[in-house]
Amino acid sequence: MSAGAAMAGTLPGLALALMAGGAAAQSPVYRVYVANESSDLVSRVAFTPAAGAVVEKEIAVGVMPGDNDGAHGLSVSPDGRHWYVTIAHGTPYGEVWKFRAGPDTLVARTRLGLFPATMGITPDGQFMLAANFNLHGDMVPSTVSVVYTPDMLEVTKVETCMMPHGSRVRPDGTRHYSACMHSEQLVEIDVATFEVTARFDVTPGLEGALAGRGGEGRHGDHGGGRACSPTWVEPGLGSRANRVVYVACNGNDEVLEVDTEAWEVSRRFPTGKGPYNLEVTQDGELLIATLKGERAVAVFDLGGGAEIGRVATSRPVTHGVVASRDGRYAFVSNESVGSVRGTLDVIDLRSLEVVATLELEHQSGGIDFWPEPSAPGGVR
Amino acid sequence: MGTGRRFGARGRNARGDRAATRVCRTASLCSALLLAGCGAGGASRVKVDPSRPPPPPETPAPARETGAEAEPADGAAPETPRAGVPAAPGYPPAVRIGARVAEIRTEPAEIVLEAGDSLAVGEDVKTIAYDADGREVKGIRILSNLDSRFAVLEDGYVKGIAEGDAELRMSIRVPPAAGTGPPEVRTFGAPLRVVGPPVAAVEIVDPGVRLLAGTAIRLEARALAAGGEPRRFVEVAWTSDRRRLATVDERGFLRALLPGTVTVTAAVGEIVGARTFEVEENPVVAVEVSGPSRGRTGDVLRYAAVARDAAGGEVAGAPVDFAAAAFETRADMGASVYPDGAFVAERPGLYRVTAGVAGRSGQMLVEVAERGASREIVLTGRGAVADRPTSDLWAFTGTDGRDYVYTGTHAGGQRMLAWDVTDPANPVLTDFVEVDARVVNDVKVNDDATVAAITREGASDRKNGIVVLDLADPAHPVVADTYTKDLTGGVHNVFFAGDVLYAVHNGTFDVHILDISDPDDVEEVGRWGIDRPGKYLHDIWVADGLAYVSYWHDGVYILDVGDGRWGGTPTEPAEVGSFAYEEGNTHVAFPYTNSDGRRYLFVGDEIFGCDDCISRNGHPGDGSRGFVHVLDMEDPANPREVARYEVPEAGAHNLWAEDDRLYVAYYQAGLRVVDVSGELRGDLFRQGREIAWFPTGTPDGHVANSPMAWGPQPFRGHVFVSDLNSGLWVLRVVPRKKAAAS
Repeated sequence: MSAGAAMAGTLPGLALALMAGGAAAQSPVYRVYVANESSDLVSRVAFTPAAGAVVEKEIAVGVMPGDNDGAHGLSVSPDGRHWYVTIAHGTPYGEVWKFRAGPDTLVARTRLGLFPATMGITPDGQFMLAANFNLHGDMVPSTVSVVYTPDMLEVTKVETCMMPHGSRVRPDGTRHYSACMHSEQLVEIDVATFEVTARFDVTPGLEGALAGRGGEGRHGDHGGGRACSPTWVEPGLGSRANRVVYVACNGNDEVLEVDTEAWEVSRRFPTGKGPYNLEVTQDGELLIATLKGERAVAVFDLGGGAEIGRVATSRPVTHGVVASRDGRYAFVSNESVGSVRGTLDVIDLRSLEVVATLELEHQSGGIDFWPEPSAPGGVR
Repeated sequence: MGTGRRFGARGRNARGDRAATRVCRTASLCSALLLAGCGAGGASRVKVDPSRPPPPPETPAPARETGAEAEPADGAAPETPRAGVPAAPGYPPAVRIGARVAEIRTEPAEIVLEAGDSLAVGEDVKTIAYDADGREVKGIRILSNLDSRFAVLEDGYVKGIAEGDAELRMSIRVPPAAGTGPPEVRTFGAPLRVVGPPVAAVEIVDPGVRLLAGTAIRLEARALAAGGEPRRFVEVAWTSDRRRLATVDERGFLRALLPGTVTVTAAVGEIVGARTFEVEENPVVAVEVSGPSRGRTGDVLRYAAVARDAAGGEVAGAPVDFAAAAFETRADMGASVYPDGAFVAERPGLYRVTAGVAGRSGQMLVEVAERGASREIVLTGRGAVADRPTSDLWAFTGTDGRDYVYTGTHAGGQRMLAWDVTDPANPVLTDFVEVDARVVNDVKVNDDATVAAITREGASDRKNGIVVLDLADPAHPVVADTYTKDLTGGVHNVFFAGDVLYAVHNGTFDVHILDISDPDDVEEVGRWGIDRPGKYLHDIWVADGLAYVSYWHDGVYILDVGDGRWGGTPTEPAEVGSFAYEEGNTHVAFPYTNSDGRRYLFVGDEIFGCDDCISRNGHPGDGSRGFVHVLDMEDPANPREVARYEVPEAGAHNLWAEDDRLYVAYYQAGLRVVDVSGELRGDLFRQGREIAWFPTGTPDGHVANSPMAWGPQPFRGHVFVSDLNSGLWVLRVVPRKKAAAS
C-alpha cells in the first residue's frame, strides 16, 4: 500500500501543509483538536481537502511552567459544544479541563485521579468517564473517574484494574469499556449504576471472561511469555454496534474483536508493531489502528476482516487517530521524540495516502474530531 | 516524627496503607458499598437493539431502561412515585424514585474518624435518602465521592489521612426539571472530620515568669496523645479556680488580680491539665530598658528590660510586655517588636520601644536608618538559548582546570548544554548531550567534577530515569549510563552526596537512593518517602549530612543522611524534623549558616493556580506567586519560621545562599539578591534587605522580553542564572566603593 506522502526535511511554520489540489472554495472543512502533552498546548487544526491543513489556534492549558502539566487525552462532547482535556501529570492528582469549543474558553477544571488519560463520553453528553492511568510508582488497581459534565462534578471513582487506558462508551450509552495495560483486562462498566459488570482476560492464549477476579489481573506475561498489554478499546459501530469492542494489544501486535454478548474473541487482526489507539468509522466498516512502534497506521476492512492498507506516518511514535464523521479521512497524531515536534497526518481513507501533514507542538497525542454543524457528517 | 519510611535496598511497596483498620479488597463488596438500597439488580446485563442509532445531536437522549427495573438492589419492592411527583415515564426506576428525594443524610450525621482509621460506607456510615416528609426513600442509587487531602474514599471505605475537615459527596440521578431529556444529577454533602488520636494528657506550659498582680500573661496548653505526640486542632477550655485572684479567658490569657494561690486548668474534652500559680504583690515601680539606639532597617535590635522595686532592686522574673511605636504618621512606617525584645523596622525613622510591667514602663528611642543594602548589578556575559526553554544549571571547575556551566532544557528541550565560562564575559557553548526526553529539568555534578547526572522526563518510551555523564572531558561530556529502573515516572531533581545520588521520582514520590560509585553501573540501594496518599515530592538538597526534602503539600522534611546524630546514614536516612505551612506548594529548600553562625533554611514556594495573581495563560487562576520562608534551624528537629522574603508581584523559584547573600531566581521578577546577614526576622523585602535585582528578559529570548528566572548559582565572583525564556546569564554584583581617605 501507499506509504503516503513523506515530508521533506523539516517542517517550517505552523501552517505548512501538503496540498491535495482542487478548489478550496468548494471544499468542506474538517476540524480536530490535538493535545500536545509536552508543550501544554492544544492545537485546533482545520483541514480543507483542496487547501490542506492549518493550525487555526493554539490554546494554552496547564499552569506550571516549571513542571510540565501534561495535556494527554482530548475528547469533544457529542454535541460539539465543548471539549475536554486531561491534565495528566498533576501534583500528583490530575484534572480534566472543560472548554467551550470554538471560542476555546475555559469553563471548568475538575480534579480526578492519578494520571487521568483517555476519556469516554455518554451519547447524551451527561457523563464523562476518564481512565486514571496511574503511572505513579508501584502498580496498584486504579480507577475510572465519573464526571457529571453539566456541573463538572466527579460523582464517583470506579476501581477497575492496573493502568487503565482507553475509555469509550458504546453507542447505546449503556456500557463503558476500558482496558488495563498491566492487568491484561478489558473491563465493562454499567453506565446506569457505574459498577463493573464484566471483566475479560486478554492474555494471549487465555482470553476469556473473568469471574470474581479483582483489579490486579494477571500482570501480563502469563500467556507463554506474551502479553497483550491492552492500550485501547473501541466499540464497534454500524452493524456491530453494541455487540463488539476492539482491543489494541500493544504488546502482542494484534487487535482483538471481543464479542461482549458471548464474551469471547470473535476475530483477531494481526497488526504491525505496537498497536496503540483505535478508531472505527461511523459506518462501522473500517478499523484504523495507530502502530506506535512502527511509525504507521493500519487500516482494516471489518467486513472482510483483512488489513487493506498500512500508511507510514510523518513522524515516529504514532499516537492517536480519529476519523471524520463521513468516514473519508483519518486524522493521526504523531508524538515524535525529544525536541522534534509532533505532527498531524491526514489520511484519505479511499486512497490510503497521506494528503496533508502539519507540524504541531511537542508530543502530539490526544485527538478528537470537532464536528461543527456545517462540517461533513454533521454533529457527532 | 515517625511519618517517614525508610526502605532497604530495592525498596518496598511505596503505597502501603497507614494503619488502616479495615480494608476492603474485593471489587464486589466495594461496588456494593457505593449503593444504598440497591445491589445486584444494578449489575444486570442489558438487552439492546443493535440497530438503534445513537441520539441525534441537540436532542436529549431518551432515558434508558435497565435491568434495575426488575429488582431494586436491596430486594425491596420498587416504590411507586407518589402523587405530585413527576411520573417521568421512560426513566429507570432508580431515577424516577430519585424525584422524591428531598435530602440525603448520613448516619451518623457527622462522620468522625481518626487519622489512620477507616469506616465502611454502608456499615459504619449509612447514606440514607429522605423525602420531603422525612420518610426514607428506598430503591435509588447513591454514588459517593470524596475529594480531600484529609480523607479518601477507597474500596468503599472512608479512610482518615490527617486531621482536618472534608465533605462526603453523595449524588443521585433524577428526572430533569424540564420533564424530558437525560437524567440530571443532584448532589448532597455530609460533613466529615478527621481527628487525631485521642488526647491522653494536657499540659500547661510553664510560662517562665512570675505572676505579679496587675499583669497578664498568655498560657499555652499542650495536648498529647497516648504516645506523647502533640495533637493539633484541639479546643481548650480554660478555667481558674479562684477568679477573684486571677481570671483566664478562652484564649488562655491569665490576668492576675490579687495575691494568693490559684490553679488554672486546661481541658480538652474530659482530659484536664492543671498548673498552680502564686499571684504575688507587684513590687515593680520602674522598668529600665536597654538596647541599641541606632540601627538599620532589617537589623534585629535586641532590647532587654529590668524591672525595679522601690529599693532599686531587680525584680527577677517579672513579665515584661514590649511595644513599638513610630512617631511618623505614615501608615507604612512599619516596625515590630517581638515578645523576646527583638525589634526590627521595615522603614527608616524614629521609633519608641516600650517595656512595661503592669502599668510601669520604660522607653527607649531608636533611630533607624536606611539599610543601604542596594548594590549595582551588571551583566557580564550571556549564553543565549533561544530555540528551547532553559531549566536548571550547575557551575563547576572541571578536571581540566577550566570553568563550566551545564544547563538543562525544558518543554521539548531534550538537551543538556555545556558552556565554557572560564571567561565569564564570553560563555562558549562547547557541546551538548542529547537524550530521549522532553524535559532535562536538573543537572548536577559530583564534588570532584568527574560525573554528572541529568534527569529525564517525557521520554518517548516513558521510561525516563536519569542519565549519567562521564566528565573526563568536561567540554564534551559523554553518556556513561542510562538508569531507568523503577524511575519510569520521570525524575525531576537529583543531588550528589559522595558516591550516592538522591533522585526525586515522579512516580513513587519517594527519594530513590542510588549508588553511583561506578558510573557505568548505577544501582539502587535505598528509598525514603513519607507515607501519605496524595504526596508529591519535588526536590532534595543535601549539605553537611542533612538532606532537605521538599514535599509539595506536606512541607520540608529534614533527614539525617550521614550527620549521624539521629542515626541516619547516606543510604538509610533517619527523619530529624519537618515543617509544613498553610501556603503549601513547598518547592525547594536551601540550608545556610551565615557569618554570625545563625543557621537558616530558606524554603521556596512555587504557587501557580493563584486566583489573585496575574494570569500566565489567560485562564483565571494560573498566575505565579510564592515566596521564601526563612526557618530558624538552631534545632533541626524543631524548625521555626522567623522571616520571609516576598516580592509582591512575582513567584519564587530556585535559590542559593552564599557569603550572607541569598540569590533567588524569582521567575518573572528576574534574579533577586538579598542580604541575609545577622539575625533574620519579619519581612526581608519590606525591610530593604534586597541588594540587587536583574530582569533576565531579552528581545531575542525564546519568549521575548519576558524574564522567567529559573535558577541562580554564585560562582567565582559572578552569579550565573538560568532563565526559562532566554538561557544563561552571567551577572556581577558590584562591590561598594570604599570611601576615599581624607
